[in-house]
Amino acid sequence: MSQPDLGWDDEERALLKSAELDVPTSGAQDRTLAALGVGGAALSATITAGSAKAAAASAGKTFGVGKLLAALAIGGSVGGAALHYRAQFLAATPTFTHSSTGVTPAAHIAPTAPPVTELEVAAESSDAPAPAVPDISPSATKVSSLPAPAHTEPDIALEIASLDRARRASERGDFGAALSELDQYDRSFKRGRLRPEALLLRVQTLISKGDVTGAKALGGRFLARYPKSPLSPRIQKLIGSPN
Amino acid sequence: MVKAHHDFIWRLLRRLGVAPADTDDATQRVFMIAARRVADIAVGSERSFLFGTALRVAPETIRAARRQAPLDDEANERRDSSPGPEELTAQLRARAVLEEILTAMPLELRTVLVLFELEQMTKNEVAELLELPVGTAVSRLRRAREEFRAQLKRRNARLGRRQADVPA
Repeated sequence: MSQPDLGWDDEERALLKSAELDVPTSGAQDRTLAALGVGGAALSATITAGSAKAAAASAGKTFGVGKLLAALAIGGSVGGAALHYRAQFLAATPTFTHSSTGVTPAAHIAPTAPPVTELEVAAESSDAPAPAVPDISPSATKVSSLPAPAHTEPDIALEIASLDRARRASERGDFGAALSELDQYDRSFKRGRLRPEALLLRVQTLISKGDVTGAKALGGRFLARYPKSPLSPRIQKLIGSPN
Repeated sequence: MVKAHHDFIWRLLRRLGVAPADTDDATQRVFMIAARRVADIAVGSERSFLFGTALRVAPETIRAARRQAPLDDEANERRDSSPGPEELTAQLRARAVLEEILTAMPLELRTVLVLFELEQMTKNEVAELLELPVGTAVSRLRRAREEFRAQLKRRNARLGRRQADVPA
């Protein structure tokens, strides 16, 4: 195991090599995810609504959905890897929404439940009641008034692809294309599950473009309404003072 | 983040002396702290943050384990200074010796040895993770190797004396 050129003798080398036995126990990663509120079973493509409910019930009480998603997106809220990773979870897991008794898979209440919106997700820690969807995105329409098509796994893949395109455009300095893609995202995914990332990416893109006023306005509205959102500190760092 | 860094953090905690039975919990604690501090973690510095957190969590976990199970700890110490059970394979016995030696090393030397020798990081990577100049990291690594060898020699000498004390 030791690197070559070190002059270890056989005994020393054997001792160092014995560290190869240090392998995480089976399921350790899933248990860590469960502790974070994801639930190991949530990563399985064969998850059932029942097991998702159990995972949510056991983990969701200590870690809200927003905090969970923020944790999953920890590597950069709009980074491709983070999105991909988060999507692994999202694609295999029913939509969660808060209820008075904890977290309930939306699959059980889909016919009558309000849509899970970006601000419901992003503002998990807010004391405000479950918000109606404010029109904080320039091209967004009122989500709550729209029909609520069911999410499917391809939706998530399409969301990821859209945000990846926007991110790549922004990274190469094509801010117009990035914002156009984000507009398209807003139109296509009015109940998108990656809308917090879309918003953050929009703020980042506006700043990169030099539209600090627009970024501050957009970010400021988010911060004013949901100061305790797990995304708020990131937006705050981006825009500095919203005023 | 969990997928990318879980195993590294698990191994690190284990090699910093956290008992096998406590390593899962300690790993979870590291990621829980990271989740709470997500807003403070700069993009691209996740591993560095987790590493720093693990360096704090490891000694806390070890201390807590000692407080909770002093008798078990004493039993472990007795067991560690004795020849390993016959059923243990050579590698398991070697791992027990490695644990004993690493535990006897100062944390800063143990850490650099673990990163370079066991995690196979380059000197530059070690320096970056420890936020040290490369020269300092290299110097620390040299001292860590010397300390490792010294601990092993002391252990072997101790065992040699003990075996010599046993009547034939």
